[in-house]
Amino acid sequence: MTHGFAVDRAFVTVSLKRRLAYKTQWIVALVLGGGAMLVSMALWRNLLSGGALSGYDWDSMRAYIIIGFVTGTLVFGAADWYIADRILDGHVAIDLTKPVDFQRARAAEYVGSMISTVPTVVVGVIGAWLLFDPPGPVSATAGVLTVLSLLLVFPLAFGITYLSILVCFWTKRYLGIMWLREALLGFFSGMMIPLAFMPSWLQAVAWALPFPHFTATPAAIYLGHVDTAGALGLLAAEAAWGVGMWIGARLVFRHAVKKVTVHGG
Amino acid sequence: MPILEARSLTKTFRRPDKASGFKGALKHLAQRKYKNYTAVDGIDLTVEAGESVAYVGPNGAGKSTTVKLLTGILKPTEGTVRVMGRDPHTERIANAHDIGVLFGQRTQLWWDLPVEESLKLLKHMYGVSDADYKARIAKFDELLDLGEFMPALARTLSLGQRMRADLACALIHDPKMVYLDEPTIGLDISVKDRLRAFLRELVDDGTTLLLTSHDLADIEEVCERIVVIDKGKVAYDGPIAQLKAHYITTKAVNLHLEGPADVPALTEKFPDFAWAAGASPSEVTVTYESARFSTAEVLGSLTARLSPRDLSLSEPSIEDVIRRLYAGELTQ
Amino acid sequence: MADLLAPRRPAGARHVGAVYTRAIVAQIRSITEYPADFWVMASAGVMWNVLQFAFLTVLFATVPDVAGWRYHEMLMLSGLFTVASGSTALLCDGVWSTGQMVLKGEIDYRITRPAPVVVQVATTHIGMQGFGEVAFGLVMLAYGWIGAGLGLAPVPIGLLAIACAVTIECALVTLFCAVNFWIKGPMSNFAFMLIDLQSNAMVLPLGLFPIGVRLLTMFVIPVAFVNFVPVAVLTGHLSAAWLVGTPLAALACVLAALGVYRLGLRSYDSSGH
Repeated sequence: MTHGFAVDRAFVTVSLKRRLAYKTQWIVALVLGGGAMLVSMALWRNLLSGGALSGYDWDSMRAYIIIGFVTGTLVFGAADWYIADRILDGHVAIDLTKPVDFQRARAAEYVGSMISTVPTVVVGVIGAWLLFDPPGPVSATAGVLTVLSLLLVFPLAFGITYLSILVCFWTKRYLGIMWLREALLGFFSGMMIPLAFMPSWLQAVAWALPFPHFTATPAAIYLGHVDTAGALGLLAAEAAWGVGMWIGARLVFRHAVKKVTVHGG
Repeated sequence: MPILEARSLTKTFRRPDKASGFKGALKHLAQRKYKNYTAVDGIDLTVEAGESVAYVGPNGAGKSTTVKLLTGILKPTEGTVRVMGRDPHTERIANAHDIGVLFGQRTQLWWDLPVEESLKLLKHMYGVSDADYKARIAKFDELLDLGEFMPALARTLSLGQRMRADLACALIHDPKMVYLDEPTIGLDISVKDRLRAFLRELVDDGTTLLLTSHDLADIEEVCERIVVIDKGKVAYDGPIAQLKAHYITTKAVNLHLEGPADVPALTEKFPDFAWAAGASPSEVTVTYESARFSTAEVLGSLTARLSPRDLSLSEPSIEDVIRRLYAGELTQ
Repeated sequence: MADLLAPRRPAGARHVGAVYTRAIVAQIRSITEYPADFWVMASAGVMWNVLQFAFLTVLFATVPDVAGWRYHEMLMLSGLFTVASGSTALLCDGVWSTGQMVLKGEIDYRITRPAPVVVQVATTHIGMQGFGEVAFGLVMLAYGWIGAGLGLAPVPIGLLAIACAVTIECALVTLFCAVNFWIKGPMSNFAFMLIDLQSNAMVLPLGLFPIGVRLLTMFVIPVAFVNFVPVAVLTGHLSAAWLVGTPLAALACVLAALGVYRLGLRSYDSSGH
């Protein structure tokens, strides 16, 4: 068991270091994430100048947008290409000969690359805090639970990303798959517009998907739109998605990898 | 007028001189320092129409940079290039019609398209007529067997197929002046042979050829003239035959003796020859000056006095000469 | 010797156009080689826009206008931008590889061929998501157009706007990708940032943003002329005089892009000397 964790840690570290080497990527991520955040701020300040809409006023919206920036940067800045490339160029056959679990090793690498976005997140949040002075969490408990929900984003992000990357066993390129996933994530997480604005049927669709836990869940907990019991329920759902997708990915991979063995790598 | 003329051609690259790591990068930002690196240093080269020139040198000697200067890809730092009287860099488009280029390390095929599609795109780019295109494709097919992979996507080709297709691409517009940078790199013997036969035919048809290669068989079989460069400068320029005649002044015989060979004893016994240990303890190599002794004479005396179990003649090769040229042992 | 020096056919505008068209058509034909990818890419292109459409629809169910702009006007804004950015994927997707080609020395062959290098690079690839984007973008534009009650009279202005939008967008993407001639790297970060920031900010009315942003997008990097200015003129948010700026911006962008690309080629050092 301890040996297993040592391997995981090694994968995390290598992937983190590799990502940190690309210093321009920090700046790019900051410009993109920060730019999107500023645009959202400009839009919602205008819209909410007359008062609250669908339960959001200008105060709570500022916090909401910053939370969206945090999760967006964590997810969009991670190194999903690396796994996709290994499948597309057939390196996966080599990985399978190594004495480590493929999915677990990729998960460790992915988490490492997500950690590499933390400097961008920190700079962006400090900047946003100074510029927009958002309200704090509704209570200390809510604050702790928000942090917990952000931590749960790590396995969740890996699950969604990895499952979508496995589609590469059937296609020649990854770009389109990535865009599809990012589009769905951006919309159904509530990053583009809070889910509360949507008609109830669309909200039902969104909550039946794993995406809302990327923005709607941490924001609802932070802003006190749910009580502690509700928050724990959301966290349980978020964790369940993480576990479910982990198991689901194993099943899909077992099926997909037959393609590799059939083709002889 | 020569078809190609380069005068004191020089290319200096500027490279950032920075320490490694993040600290080095910061330091470089604050105070920019560069190191100059001269890849081609004052080369003079004149090629007449119809010549076939081998351009050789060790790794990093400046071969590829010269080809890039001659083809107009790079702008010379100093000196001039004229191809059919034109500067290939400033008169790029006009020059492009007259030259064909192949870089063995890279392909010019469109990666995602069938080979045939790449050739057709080039046909239109060069404005080749339908009749000419058909005739040339037929000829390439006959000599290079293009037909079998014309419909295949470029990315699915083997290296040998790719090189043959690239050669067709480089020649589809029947260029007067052809540059081939390592056209046989990584190919197996049979493909190499076929390619060399094709190049000989090309030269016989009057195309001017400049070829770089590390494979000296390419050079001996295809070219008549050789230009050796080292550290960006011309070390030798002349006919290959002359290079051999001038610099291959010794010949060698390999002997397989009955017992172990004692090199010092043999040297004492035959002081006129140079002796060196061979591949096994009982093998030995004898080198002698061809001007002083005839081969028959040498063989006679060796067999009479040593009665070897077996013996073979080492064919004198251009390779040895060039190796010695690189090593600085020879000067023109 | 005389025939050696006889002039060959020059690379005139017609020749360049023919070379360009043939290369793009060849790329389109090759799509049949990758049917699964085509459908994934095209539906990804559509999905982005369906969700943009959904965003506006959801938003306007709650608010009557955004900085004075109504639902259908905002749809036109989004639609025109989508048509422009989708067109770059269809018309010049290859320029995104400029950085990669510079790094690997893959510009070499293209310099030795008798056609403009930028044309050869632009046609090395086609972004299949462009089909979905352009198709759905046009639907969004038309739906907004009809909903805003513009009628048939201003259609010529609309067509001019589309032509200029496509031209400006292709030119700007080319220009920003050409930055990689100097700042070496495989990723076209500048062009990527341009498109990403545009898709965030320029689908909203410019009035939301501070004066600095407005000046920047009109006169420095004229992305406002891609969609905002023409739609604002069509819907009466700006006076018709502004329309003159659109073709001027297009011309300026094309000249700048070609100039920068040419400068880039001049400083091209190939690779592996």
